[in-house]
Amino acid sequence: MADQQAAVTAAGVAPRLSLRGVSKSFPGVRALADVSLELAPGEIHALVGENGAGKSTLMKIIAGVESPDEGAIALDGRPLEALDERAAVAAGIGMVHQERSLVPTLSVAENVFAGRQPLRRTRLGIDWRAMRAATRALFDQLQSDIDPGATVGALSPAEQQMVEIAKALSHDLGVLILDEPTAALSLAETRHLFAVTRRLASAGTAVVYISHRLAEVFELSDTVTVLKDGRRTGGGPTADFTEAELIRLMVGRELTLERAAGRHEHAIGDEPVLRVSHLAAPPKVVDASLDVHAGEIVCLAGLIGAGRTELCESIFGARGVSAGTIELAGRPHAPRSPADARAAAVGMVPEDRKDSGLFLGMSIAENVAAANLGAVSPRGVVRRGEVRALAETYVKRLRIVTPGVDQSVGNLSGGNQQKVLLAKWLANRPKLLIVDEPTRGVDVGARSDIYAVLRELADSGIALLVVSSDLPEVLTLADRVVVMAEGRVTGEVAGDDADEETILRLASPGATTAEVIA
Amino acid sequence: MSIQTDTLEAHTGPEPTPNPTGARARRLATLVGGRILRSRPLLLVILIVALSGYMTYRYDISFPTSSNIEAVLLNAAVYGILVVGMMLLMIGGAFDLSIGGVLALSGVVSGQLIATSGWPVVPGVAAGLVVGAVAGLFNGIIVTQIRINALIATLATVGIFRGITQLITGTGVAPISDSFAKIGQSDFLGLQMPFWIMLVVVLAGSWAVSQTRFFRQYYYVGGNRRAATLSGIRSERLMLVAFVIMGTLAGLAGVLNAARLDAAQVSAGTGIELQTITAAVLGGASLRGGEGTVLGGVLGVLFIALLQNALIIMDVNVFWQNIVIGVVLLLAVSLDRWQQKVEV
Repeated sequence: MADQQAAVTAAGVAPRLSLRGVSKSFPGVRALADVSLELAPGEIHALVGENGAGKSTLMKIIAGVESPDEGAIALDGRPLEALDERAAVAAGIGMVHQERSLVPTLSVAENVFAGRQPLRRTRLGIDWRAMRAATRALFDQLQSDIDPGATVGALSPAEQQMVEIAKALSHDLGVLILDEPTAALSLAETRHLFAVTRRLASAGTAVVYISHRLAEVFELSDTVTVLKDGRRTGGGPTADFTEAELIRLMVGRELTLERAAGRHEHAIGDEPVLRVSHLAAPPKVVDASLDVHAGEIVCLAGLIGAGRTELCESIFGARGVSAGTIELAGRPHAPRSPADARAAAVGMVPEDRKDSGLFLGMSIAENVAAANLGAVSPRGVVRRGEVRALAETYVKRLRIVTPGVDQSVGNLSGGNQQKVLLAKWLANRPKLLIVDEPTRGVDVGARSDIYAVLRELADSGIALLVVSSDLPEVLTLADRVVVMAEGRVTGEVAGDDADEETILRLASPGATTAEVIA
Repeated sequence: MSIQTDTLEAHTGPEPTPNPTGARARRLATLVGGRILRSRPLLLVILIVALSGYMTYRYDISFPTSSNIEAVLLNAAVYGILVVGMMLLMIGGAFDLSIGGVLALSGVVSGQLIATSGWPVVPGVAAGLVVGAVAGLFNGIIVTQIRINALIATLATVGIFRGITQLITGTGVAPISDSFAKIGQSDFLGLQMPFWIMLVVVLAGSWAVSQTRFFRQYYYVGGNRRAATLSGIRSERLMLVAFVIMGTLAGLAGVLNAARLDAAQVSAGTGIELQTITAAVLGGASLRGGEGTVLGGVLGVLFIALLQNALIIMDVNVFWQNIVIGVVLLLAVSLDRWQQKVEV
């Protein structure tokens, strides 16, 4: 493996960045163990691995946010010692963090040039016009039309991500680190980002690209390094690997994300459990109609911002409706709050687990009980025994890996946290379960397990409406795919007939269709 | 800290472990210390016992007398009632700075109706409680419907409530009436009525908050408001109810306070919110919400009452008492911050 690595950089050029035998421990965890990495100028180097594999720690060490316990770092052949964030920036290392580092109340331009706003010739005061112009130029590079004067807090998550990227680009960079930059981006924006990345690389910048999306790794990167449990398990020129090989190095076993077998063997009910007709919920949902039957998984596909989450929130009573009707098992359903929706046997697992789903300081048992206090408290008095028993039932049924139901949910992996949220709603015996992005932030290894669980739930007669921005996931799960674009349902495809191209075509806002598919 | 050392040892290989018994003892100490710090009621019981023990030993003439203990418990009665409501609010992620104003307003309304308008005692007391409930409802509507931050909202309403109180009576009503004063001054089993009323409120509150479905919901609201709402919990309505309960309890405290003194003072309850919040935080409430127990809050009240009593017996200048309460609040909050860091 070391030979392969050397071969890449043996072109005679000194590596732009080299790490030798880097190790780092945090209390209780060995985050990195003896990891080496070399980046040639102009190289796009993908770093892949499951959550907790050490990718982010490694990048934080390169960006000077963390210091390594052992190992040496050299930039252009010069050893870097006691690297802190400021020194890293001065040395030309820029990083787009997974977590946002923007000030929401300030303008886009001020965020991009935070702490180094251009000054007027008199050196008294900021040259606002120059700063805006420079910001404008950066966004032109990214082919984005974000207004430099806009307030960051008013931007969408995708636009904020673009601001983060522009901020990193505004430095004169020798090394650019992109940590999951496309998580919030639409397809078109992802394309622009890739184009910009390639242009930077061809100008000599070494790029480290971290992503969960293997398709992007193959599309963009020259070389790849795989981390597992803080160690390098493989790597080399990306072209030498297949997706299956990378996954095996990441999880240590073969995994296939094939379509669930026997999809059509279970009975799909005739009458729809959910029927949405011409629903409008301004500003995001304009005109949406769809059906979901008992035992069926309907995937709601589309680009970020297409109004899918908002549609689900309307069905769940968390968002007002201005026109159209919803029927649940043939009867009108007009929930004014999630409490009403719960009473009507509708459940929803939200997209942002930590922010809107979990009670992080509480135990698994208490999290499961959150939507089911009635079931565990006969005559209004909560019985601890029943709270635990309820959770234990679902821990077993959903194969949640934990030492016990008293474990705090904060200690669980992403996949198990997701299952706790599913358990919370299953215990309420839903007729309809809405799951928004079921595998966001879930390891590759745990994904197929979540898919199997969702399939079992459908087989048990629950109607499932699944929002997903991950096309392979949609193709794996869906009995039927409903596609939304700009607040409207633009089409519907049977699961068997669905393919990426059809879905993308339906998902793309009119004018840019051709461009996205190309 | 000990975890970090363990990991490093594990990875630096078979090094001769220096002084293993010392390390074990240290680990045990951390474990026991951690357990005590984690269970706030236990920590408070230990502090209360230690302080009582010291006072009994040093001041055996003045401290362990029945009249002194009665005075401590009487002093704790008003705060014990208030801390039940404050704890509920803090578990749900809010608090109420206006309780001093509500207390004064309720006392004055009851006193005025009984002394001046000649109302009988029972409707007069009921009127005080209703005034408290309405004040709480007012706070609750501002916080949950108009969505103004609880700090600012109740900081503003305390001014309003005190102003209304002064409009009603100017300086206060005294004396009120003998039959009214009985509520605050009569004895039962050697202890005064306010203590027994507090005991009932505390036992009911503690049972409800720890056992009933309705009140358990507050832990979810405080733990993650958005997740609670999306779990079908009516967070806004719950917080409105909590403010009404807080107001009613502040009304009850105001009536008892007036009855005890046979006087309704406009300035009653000044600084009472600081002491109540201090007791709640001492008792395990977190400023982030989602944590705390009524038992802990009441033990916090007892500890502070005991501390104040000790300062008086030790003849410490009265002005120092406020300083001590402030320092105790800061220490309690720091303990909360520190625990947060250790747990993460």
